[in-house]
Amino acid sequence: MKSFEEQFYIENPTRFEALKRDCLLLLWLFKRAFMWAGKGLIIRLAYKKAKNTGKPLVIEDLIKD
Amino acid sequence: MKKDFPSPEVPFAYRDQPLSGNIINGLGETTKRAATQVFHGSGARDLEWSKLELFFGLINPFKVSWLNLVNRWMLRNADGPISNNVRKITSQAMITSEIKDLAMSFGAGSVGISPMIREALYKGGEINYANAIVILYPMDTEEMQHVTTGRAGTETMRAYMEISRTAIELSKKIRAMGWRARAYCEGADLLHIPLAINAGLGQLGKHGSLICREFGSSMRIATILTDLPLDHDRPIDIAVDDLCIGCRRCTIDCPVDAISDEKHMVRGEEKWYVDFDKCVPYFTEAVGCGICIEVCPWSKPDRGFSLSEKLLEKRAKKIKLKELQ
Repeated sequence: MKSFEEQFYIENPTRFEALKRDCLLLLWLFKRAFMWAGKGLIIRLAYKKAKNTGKPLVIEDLIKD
Repeated sequence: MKKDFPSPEVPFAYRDQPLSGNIINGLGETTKRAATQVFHGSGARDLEWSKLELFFGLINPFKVSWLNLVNRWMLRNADGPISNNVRKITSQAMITSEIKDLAMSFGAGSVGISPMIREALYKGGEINYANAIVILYPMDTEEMQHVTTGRAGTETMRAYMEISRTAIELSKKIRAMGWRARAYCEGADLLHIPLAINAGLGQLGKHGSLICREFGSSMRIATILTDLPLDHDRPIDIAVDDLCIGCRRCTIDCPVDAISDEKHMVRGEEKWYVDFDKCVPYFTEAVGCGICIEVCPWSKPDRGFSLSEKLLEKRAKKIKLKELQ
């Protein structure tokens, strides 16, 4: 898997390359925003519950491969 | 005395513990080798501790997460178009001074220049640029007093955004001169600390972070890699070890005892090392933690220069006394 820099840093890009990069980056950011709002909400609620009950969350149950 | 920080007991666990970060980092290894990324891979690359990193990203407060996304959007301009009109460099000293002035005018708190070095690369990385311009940006010490809360996390992200903006602006200026330049900021494929030390900005502290005279450890680092010919700064001795050896502020205040009072052998180098397996789970729980850098005596505003001066004087006196005996 490529790193952030490998995916979105382009040396001397053409206008098309820059536009394509911007679209892909926007998509990447939207995915992360939706994940924070969706899956993240479930995890934050479970996390709060775990803090109150003292029963630890299992990372693998929350975040699958 | 320890402040009222969150409990060292973290409310999460692994079913199958990932490979120890200390092993990946080469703790105890006597031969030199490149570092391997374990955590903080900017969320794009799959690392041994990626699941915890994603978990950290998802439990972060809204403001911290939002600022992180905005920062990532800004970073698309970290590299870009290079002017065809290449500026000829008649005096390397003059262009170096101009670049440093530009960095400061864009908002950097401190700037140093190092040749690109292998120690700054992760395993598999290649040296593609000749020079590294390292910039520091101070965090607001008042806000950082609220470490382990979202308030300090927000200030950290704000500082990351400011240093990203500064580094991007500087890289754009260099590219406009017709030279290659790329800004590396938060979560980058680059180790900033070895470059900052080599650029004469400070020294490694007991807590595993850079200590500089201007801001202690309460700052963020970014690097601009470039082929623009520049004069290099030299590493400096500000007497960080003289204090760290006897000072126990960070070792005492660290809730999970991740900081050691002794140096360790790490990838063939004797240096200060923080226990990754203890530090990172707590870092995740404590919204980015940062206790060690905030309690550090060097991080007190306007203290670094006088502290360094006193420590160097004390050392010189000790040497003189030894010589007399």
